[in-house]
Amino acid sequence: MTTLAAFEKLPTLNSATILLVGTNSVFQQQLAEAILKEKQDLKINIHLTTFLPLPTERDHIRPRIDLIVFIIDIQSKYSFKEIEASLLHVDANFFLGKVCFLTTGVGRMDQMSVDMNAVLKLADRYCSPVLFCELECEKIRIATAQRLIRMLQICSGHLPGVSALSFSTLMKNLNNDSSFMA
Amino acid sequence: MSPTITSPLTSSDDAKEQLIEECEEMWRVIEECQNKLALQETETLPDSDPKLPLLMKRLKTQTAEFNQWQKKEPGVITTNPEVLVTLGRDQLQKLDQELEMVLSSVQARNKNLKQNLLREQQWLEEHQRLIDDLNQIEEELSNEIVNLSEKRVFQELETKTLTVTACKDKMLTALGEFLEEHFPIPEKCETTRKKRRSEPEVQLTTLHEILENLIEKHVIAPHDPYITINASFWPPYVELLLRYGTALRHPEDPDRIRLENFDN
Amino acid sequence: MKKGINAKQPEETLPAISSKDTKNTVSNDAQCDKAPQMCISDSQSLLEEALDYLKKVKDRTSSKNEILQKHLATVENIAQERGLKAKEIHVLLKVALSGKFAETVNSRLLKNLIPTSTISDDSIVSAVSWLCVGKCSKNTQATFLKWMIAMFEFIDQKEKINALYGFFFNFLQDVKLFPFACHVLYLLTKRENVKPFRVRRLLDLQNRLGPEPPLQALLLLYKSFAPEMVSVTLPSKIKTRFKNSENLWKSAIGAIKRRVYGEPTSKPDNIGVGCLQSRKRKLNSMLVLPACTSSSGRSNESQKPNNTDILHHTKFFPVEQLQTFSQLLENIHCLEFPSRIGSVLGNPLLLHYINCVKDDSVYQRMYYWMGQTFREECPWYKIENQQNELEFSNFLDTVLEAECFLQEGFSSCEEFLYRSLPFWDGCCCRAQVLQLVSWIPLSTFSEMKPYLCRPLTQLFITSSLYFKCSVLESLRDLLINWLNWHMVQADMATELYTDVLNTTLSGVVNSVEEAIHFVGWLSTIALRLENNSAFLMHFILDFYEIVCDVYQKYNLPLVIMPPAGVFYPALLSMDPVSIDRLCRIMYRYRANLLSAKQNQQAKQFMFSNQTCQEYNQYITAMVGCLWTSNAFQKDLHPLGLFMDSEVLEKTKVQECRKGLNLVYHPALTGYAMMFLEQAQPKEKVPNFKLIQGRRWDWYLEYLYSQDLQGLKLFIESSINRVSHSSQKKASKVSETTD
Repeated sequence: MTTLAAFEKLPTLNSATILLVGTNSVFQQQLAEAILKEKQDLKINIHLTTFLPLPTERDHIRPRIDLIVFIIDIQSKYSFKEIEASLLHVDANFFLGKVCFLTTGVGRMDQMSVDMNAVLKLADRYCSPVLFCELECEKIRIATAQRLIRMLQICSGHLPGVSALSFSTLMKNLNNDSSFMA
Repeated sequence: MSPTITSPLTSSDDAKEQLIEECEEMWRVIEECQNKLALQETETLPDSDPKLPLLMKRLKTQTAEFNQWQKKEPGVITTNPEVLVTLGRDQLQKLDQELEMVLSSVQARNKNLKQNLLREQQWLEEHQRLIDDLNQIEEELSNEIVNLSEKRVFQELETKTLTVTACKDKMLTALGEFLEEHFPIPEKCETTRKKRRSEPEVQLTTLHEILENLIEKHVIAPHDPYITINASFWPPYVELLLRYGTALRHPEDPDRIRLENFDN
Repeated sequence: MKKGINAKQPEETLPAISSKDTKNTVSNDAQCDKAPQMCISDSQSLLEEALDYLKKVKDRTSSKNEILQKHLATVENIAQERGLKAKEIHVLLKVALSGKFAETVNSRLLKNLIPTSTISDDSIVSAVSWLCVGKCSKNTQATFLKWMIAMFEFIDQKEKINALYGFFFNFLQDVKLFPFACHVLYLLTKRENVKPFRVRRLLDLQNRLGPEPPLQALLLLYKSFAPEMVSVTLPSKIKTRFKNSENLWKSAIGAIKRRVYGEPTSKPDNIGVGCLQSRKRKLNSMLVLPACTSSSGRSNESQKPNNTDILHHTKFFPVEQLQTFSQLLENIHCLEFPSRIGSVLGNPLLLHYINCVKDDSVYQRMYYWMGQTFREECPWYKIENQQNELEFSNFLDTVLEAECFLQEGFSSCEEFLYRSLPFWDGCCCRAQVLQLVSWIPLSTFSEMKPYLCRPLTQLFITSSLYFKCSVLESLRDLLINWLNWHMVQADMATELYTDVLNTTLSGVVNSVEEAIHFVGWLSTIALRLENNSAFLMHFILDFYEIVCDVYQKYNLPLVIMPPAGVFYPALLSMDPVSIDRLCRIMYRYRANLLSAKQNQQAKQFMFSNQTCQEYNQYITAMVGCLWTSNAFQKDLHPLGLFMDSEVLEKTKVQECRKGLNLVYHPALTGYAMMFLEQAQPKEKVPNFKLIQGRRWDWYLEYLYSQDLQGLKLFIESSINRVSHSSQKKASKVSETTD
């Protein structure tokens, strides 16, 4: 099976798993380290890949994935194309709040080779939020890691009463006006 | 709530066992759900436009979630007093920590407010001084205007006129010199060509004169400031005046021009 | 220029010897001293030779001529290394614009016209005269204008250049020069330059060229000087007014600013860290008034102004000399804003002045400058600015203090927020950014939503508890600022009011209402995400302490209840302080509603019955929860405390149906226990049932004595104690019937 399934495995106790998909392995590695450095009550597993689908032979040792983060480097058309292709191998159930896009490289406007609107559109097509961050900058990386951990906590069901879906609705839904009107 | 609870007191081991039992029960429920979920096929989205099916799916799921919340009855965590006491203590400790935080944040805010107050008091004082001063100046000025004698005003105006006239003369001379040097009357070659075509000889007007004409007309007859272009105007100079916006053509009569209205 | 003199006196601006070296031993010192001097004199003589050659060489020398190339290289090296003196620039400008060389040479020269510190105004005058002669190509002319824009700040005196206004104005006619001429004019324009015939020409141009941003920016500036002359409507927010023309000289400008505004020279200026560090003080030095280098034309004699001066507006007091408040008072009639408008922000005296001046153009200039600075310096918008976070936050502090002083949000700050919030990580300059949020000017809230609420919400829900609290605090400040602004405006003429907001009072009410709903929504989510944290609750209650008094304290006809997602967590909090504050808030709501009802009869304030219903529902819950012990039965709000008796029985608590009142409420049980300990010190297990009848009243007194003043206000106002403890019920605000 080539699709990454959302619910085929039981969750593991007191742990959560995040999958980082992106073509720049340096950024991925640094982000993963930043996430692991944060103090957590949860045990956090991080899996890195440049594209989906994941190889099937290691499937049995891989825990259930709670959050997929697609890292788009706005300075590289290639990264965008790869992500677009990888998205086709994701189970629709993930898009109920367990996917987010991370866009990096916006801080160098002159070197952008992917149109930002294309990224926003892609995220909109898949009903998932976009975070912007400069992964090459350590401070921002740490801040982003903390934000991702908070999302991961929710996606893995560790925050009572808040589901991944309702959370992602909050993240996305402000386009429709008056959503917060009583 | 009242701590009098009917169940008999149990030892801490019992409490632990009870908790573990409850946890295991929950885990069984989870496994059951998982078994149902595993039956579900993974669902790939159409790659052309996944948005609509996705939104439908989200709607369905969200409705289900909503219904689940609606149906949900409040439950009792446990009736084991030992567990309850521990939980209560935990909560109180957490509250204690948070209230410490509240305290320090309130203290910080108070300090900040005190500083702001001082700053704003100073500003207020300065504003007040400024207003007082401005009012005073205004008063003095209005007094002075009343006191201005007619004679003095007249004198002042006279000196002013004198200076202005002198200044004007100086500028006109300078302008004249500049124009004479840089915009002379075109010489021979032009005139010889014209002769050959056997046109009547015309004495060309200098740019200086054209400008003076324009200015004069502008001052004397502001209601009709136009002058007519005649053969004595060398066309390139007229062009120059028009191009740089010094002069404007009559909207209906291309042969008449006037000075751009610089002061209005 | 004689070489000898220069050899003896190394240029001050040249950090020839680093401070480290000077601390070396004496013998070393001598060596070190000599070497750089030699170096200077060498390069100086080379440069002079080059200048001499360029001045005197025949016209149309081929650009491939080797000697020419050698001299050009010399100029280039020295210019990039230490900059050129005003005189040298003067010479080179002439050479470049006289058209004696090919275009490549001219543009190469212009690119290297980097001043050590300042450029003399005479150089510009002579350059413009060369431009008018038209000896050089259009491209070169355009490059010159770009250069002038980039270096504008370093031109010593601008009076003479302003005198050339008409010349620059004429450059507008040339399509190639047009955008740059617009920019130059934008920088130069003063009130006296705005004349009807120029407006006519500009409008004419606009008709011909269409809505060009540079032209619109210039027209907007004209309009701000003389609204009566420019009657066309212009978009008030032009996205990019001018293309950045600094690019060619960007690094060079950095170097000049470093030289001019000083820097720590202890570190060698190699690429990377050193380079970034040396920029440190640049930004904030832009907030400082430049010391005038040459004695200004405006006299310094006008120390003692008499009032005729005021009438005649002849003499200006140089702002550079403005030091004390009394000087400001003496000279307030004859001040002119400095050319470096940013310096107004950092100067309290000039802020006072700006406060007195009703001149939109000053704000226009300041906003333009600020917007530019934000774009250039924002650390998260441009990653190369990362190192300058501290500097940037200091800059923001200055801006904020100015906003606070003027009690007015700057539209450039608003623009900056909207543009940069989506990319903000929530950490960089957090305090300052959030304070900027609280100074957003009151406008239509629905317009702000996509720019402000969306990015802020995303950050809010994914960030820490502390961040959430800070956001709520800044939104509370925003509300206060808006309400204050409303109060001030309402005090002043009403026409002005409608003018500023473009709406009526109902517009303000709508905006404030929507903002309050937004914060209510955020608060509900935050409480959920943070597990009803008591710390968070205090920030939320801070906000509602303002909201509940909007009508009585700020005179805005609006009463909005908190959402149930805030009310119930506060009511059931384990923290007595939260309960007490909630009680006070409900007490104030009551006062506001009652006064609103009175005025409703006088048709001054129409508020919806729904508000009243909500209030009454909450009151029922509160009274049931604190007093009558019947919340489990009576509170029928969808999120209320109603519970089936079967569920209650599962808890196995005796008399659980009445298990919630002043005695058993989780936040107050502690008080009940202490009260009982005082009353009956011998009992080991406190018997809460004893608190009844007379003891109930004593217990109340005890609670009041523990600083629970909000509770006291609430109970005394909202609970009808008809007869002693036999009949207690909530005193509701009756709904109107219509």
